[in-house]
Amino acid sequence: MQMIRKLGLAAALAGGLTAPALAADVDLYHDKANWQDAYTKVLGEAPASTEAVPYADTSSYQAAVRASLRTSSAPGIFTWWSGYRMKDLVDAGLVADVSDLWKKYTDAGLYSPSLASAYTFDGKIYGIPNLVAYWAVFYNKKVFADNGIEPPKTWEELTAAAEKLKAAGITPFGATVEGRWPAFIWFQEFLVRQDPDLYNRLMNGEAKYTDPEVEQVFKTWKDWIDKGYFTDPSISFGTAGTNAMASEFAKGDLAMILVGTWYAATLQEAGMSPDDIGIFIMPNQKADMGPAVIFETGPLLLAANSGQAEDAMKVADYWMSAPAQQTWVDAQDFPPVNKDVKAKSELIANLVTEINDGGYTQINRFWEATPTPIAEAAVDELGGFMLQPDTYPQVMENLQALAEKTWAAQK
Amino acid sequence: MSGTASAALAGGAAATTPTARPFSQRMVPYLYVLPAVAFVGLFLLYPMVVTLWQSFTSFDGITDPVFNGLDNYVELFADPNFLLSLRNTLIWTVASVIFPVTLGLVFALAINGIRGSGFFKTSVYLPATISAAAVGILFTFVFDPGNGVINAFLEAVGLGALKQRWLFESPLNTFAMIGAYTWQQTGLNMMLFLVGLQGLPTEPLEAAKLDGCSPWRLTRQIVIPMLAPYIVIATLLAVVNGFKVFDLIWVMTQGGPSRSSETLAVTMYREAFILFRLGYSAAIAVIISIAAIAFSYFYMRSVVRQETQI
Amino acid sequence: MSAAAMAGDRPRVGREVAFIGALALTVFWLLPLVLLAMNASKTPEEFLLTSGLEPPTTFNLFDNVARAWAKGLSSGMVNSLIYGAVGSVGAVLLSALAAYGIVRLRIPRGLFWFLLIYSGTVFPFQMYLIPLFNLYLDTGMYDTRFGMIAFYIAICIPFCTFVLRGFFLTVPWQIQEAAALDGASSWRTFWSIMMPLAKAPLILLILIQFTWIWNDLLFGLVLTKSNDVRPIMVALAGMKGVYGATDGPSVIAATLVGSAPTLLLFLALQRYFVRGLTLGLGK
Repeated sequence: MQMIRKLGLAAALAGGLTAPALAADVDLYHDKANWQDAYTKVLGEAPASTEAVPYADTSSYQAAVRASLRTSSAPGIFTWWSGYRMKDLVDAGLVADVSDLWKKYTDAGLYSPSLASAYTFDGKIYGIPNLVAYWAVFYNKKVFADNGIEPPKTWEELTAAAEKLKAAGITPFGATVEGRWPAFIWFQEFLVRQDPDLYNRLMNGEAKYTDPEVEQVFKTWKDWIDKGYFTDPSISFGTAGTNAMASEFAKGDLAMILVGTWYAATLQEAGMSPDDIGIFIMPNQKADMGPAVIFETGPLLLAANSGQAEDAMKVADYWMSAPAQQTWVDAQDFPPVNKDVKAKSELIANLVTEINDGGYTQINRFWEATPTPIAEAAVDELGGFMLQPDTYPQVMENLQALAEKTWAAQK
Repeated sequence: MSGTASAALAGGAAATTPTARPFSQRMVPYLYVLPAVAFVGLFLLYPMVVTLWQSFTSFDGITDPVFNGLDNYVELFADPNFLLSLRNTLIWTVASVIFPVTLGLVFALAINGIRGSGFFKTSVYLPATISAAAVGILFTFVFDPGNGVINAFLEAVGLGALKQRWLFESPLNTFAMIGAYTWQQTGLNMMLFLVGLQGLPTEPLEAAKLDGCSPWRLTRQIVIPMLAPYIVIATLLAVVNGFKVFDLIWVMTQGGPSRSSETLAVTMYREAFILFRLGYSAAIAVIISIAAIAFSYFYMRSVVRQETQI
Repeated sequence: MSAAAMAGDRPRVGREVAFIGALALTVFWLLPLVLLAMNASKTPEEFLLTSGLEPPTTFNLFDNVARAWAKGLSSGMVNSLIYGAVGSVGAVLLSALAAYGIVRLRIPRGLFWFLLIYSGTVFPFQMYLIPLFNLYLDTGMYDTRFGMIAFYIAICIPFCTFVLRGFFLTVPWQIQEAAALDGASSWRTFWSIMMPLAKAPLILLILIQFTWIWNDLLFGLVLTKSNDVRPIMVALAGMKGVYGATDGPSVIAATLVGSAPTLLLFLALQRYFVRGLTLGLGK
């Protein structure tokens, strides 16, 4: 008994002797543990001492941030998601208006105004860019070269390439449901490639999931699945720790992966050298449609009620400046958003040039472009479709039912 | 019934002291009990009450809660996903009684008293010392359709046709996860039964053996019935824990694909932390609690009955 | 005794068969752990490129652990050690006091008090999450070691009280009456008589609760955010992810290292496990 008492006392003392860490002027909360080092590097030069706080898990991160936003202990800055995912925070008045900050940078010609569209509500801008990624197709250069394939510029070239690869025993495209959310990747792509306007209308509830054009999308998708163009959708994608898709790509068994540009780092971890990775934007089904690319933008938001609000604004200003952005881009190899900043890798630099010079329409991805209840429930339905493509009529019905429910509740 | 039991105890105490006890002395038991009650009250009971209240509101975490009566409950029972979740939870509860408990019993009977039993005991119990999340990661790996242990093994022994997408077909995925859960929980049940076996009285067993009873019949008709109280405890613990399983499922399938492997605990988490429908999620929590209480009630009744018969 | 008698009556061949059977079963049972260890020793590239069944070509376990160590594994282990030790000992102490008060001091309406405490364990844990979260935010306990310890103590109390109550019911009354005749106060009786008797169940409970606290993921996720406070399972969870590069062997190695303390604790305290269960179940 004496021993237990002593042990207990000792541990209690140890537990009590916890000096709280020196509080920084600004806290930056985020849920991307892998980026902690990059944040620390960039924020090292910030005008106010800023500490990046990584949360381990996305859903508890969201709950923690949402709960703290009404109080003054809310973080000065936090990462979030654009579009509908931030709309409810904006509507509740919990996010600071940063339109003036943007004006400073767009007036100086350093930022393109259209970049802020995903953060704009009622004419005011509420976020600054944390990450911009374009959703394009990574391809294994060696596999292409060995099979005499060039990056396709038209839909016909794309399907021809797929056929050639299939004949050579190589899986053309990667597709997965692992982690739940990836199920929307090909859905949005097929929609946009068929008709970007249809995509926009569907995201805003002006088109129905049961419309014949949407059925056409599913038919095309099913056709590709039946032809064996995709990997088995149960392939692992990194959520649980293994990443078979990346390793198949590295081994040359998988030729193309449609994903955000941030995936380049994963591919290199899998053993690909940057010279072996190529990227191209998926061509439209019909050549006469203007070029479009799906992008993803994650904002940094400033909490309106935070006690750190003033300093946070200064740090936000610093974040958008060229020196900070250059450090960020160098650390992450993201497409640069500040025009004075150079991309780190040739791969990304070429892609960005093509998008800017080619007059590409930039379309926000599914995850943020449509209300959250639809997006979350849709990936479950789409995942079911990917595993059992014959069920697409039922999937379409289910999607429309939940879309209707959500739009009705929004009124 | 229980009232008379404790009254009897209290009355017994009063009977041993001839005069009424002074207030300070009567307060003493409360002082012992209060710290525990305070902790439980603040950290466990208070959240329960709040959750119960929240189940009658519509609350998204960033605006004020809005009272909406029984709407959440009505919506729950009309939602096919909820009913599927309920079905899965029942499968889990039944399976987590059948598999870990039965297997634990079998192991206990097999390992008891043989050479090197200490080593076997420890090995079987080892999985119980690692976390559910770790088990989930491990078995996601094991069940991986492309690269995983099971499919690779089937392929290697020529049974490639039996390969499955273990975690991606329903209800196969639920059973695969139950397999992982069994791997972890069997050891605990085995330990419980080993304790029981070692406490068995020798005379009835010796007598039966002298009568020429075969070991098999001995086990079935004498040993197992004598282990009945332990089986009851193991079953109760298994049921209550089966309701609560979350980490394992969340790590392995996140309740998918298409929400096919969700149990009530997973659905509750999803509604709260992904869809931010806190009132709705609270209603699910209340339903889980009612079910768990109902099961526990029967056990507590039998335990209390036993004790008051002393 | 009875068990050995049973075993000794099996024919020699039967015993050998049983032994081999048990051995085979154990190997099969431990296979997943062996695979874990194998894959924890691979380099990240090797991990991505080889099948899970293939053994590693080089031994990289310590490198993998070192990387995980720097990424938050070390602080996670320190935190969880504190939570596990203080939490389990604290809960066991408070539960012993409560069980003593209920059973030995015969508090009026003792069953009500016991059920009140026990009801804390009947509800699914997830139910506590959001209200606790808000409570912690409001009272400033969010992301503090104190807050975590307090919670872990609270959640371990119900089960510990359940077991210790069962144990205390089996202690003969004569011992207590003898102490009272000697003029011992309830406090003295508790510490000098009851607790030493309860040594095995107490240690069993400390072992079980330490393991539970150590393995907790959900409450650590919701109630902490910073490295200084975060328990180990949360630190592990933070190492997986799709955004950016994944480092499989490091995660698996970290999982192994993270599981080691509870494993070792069990091995060290096993003999109390069975004794404690026996006494704690009270028949």
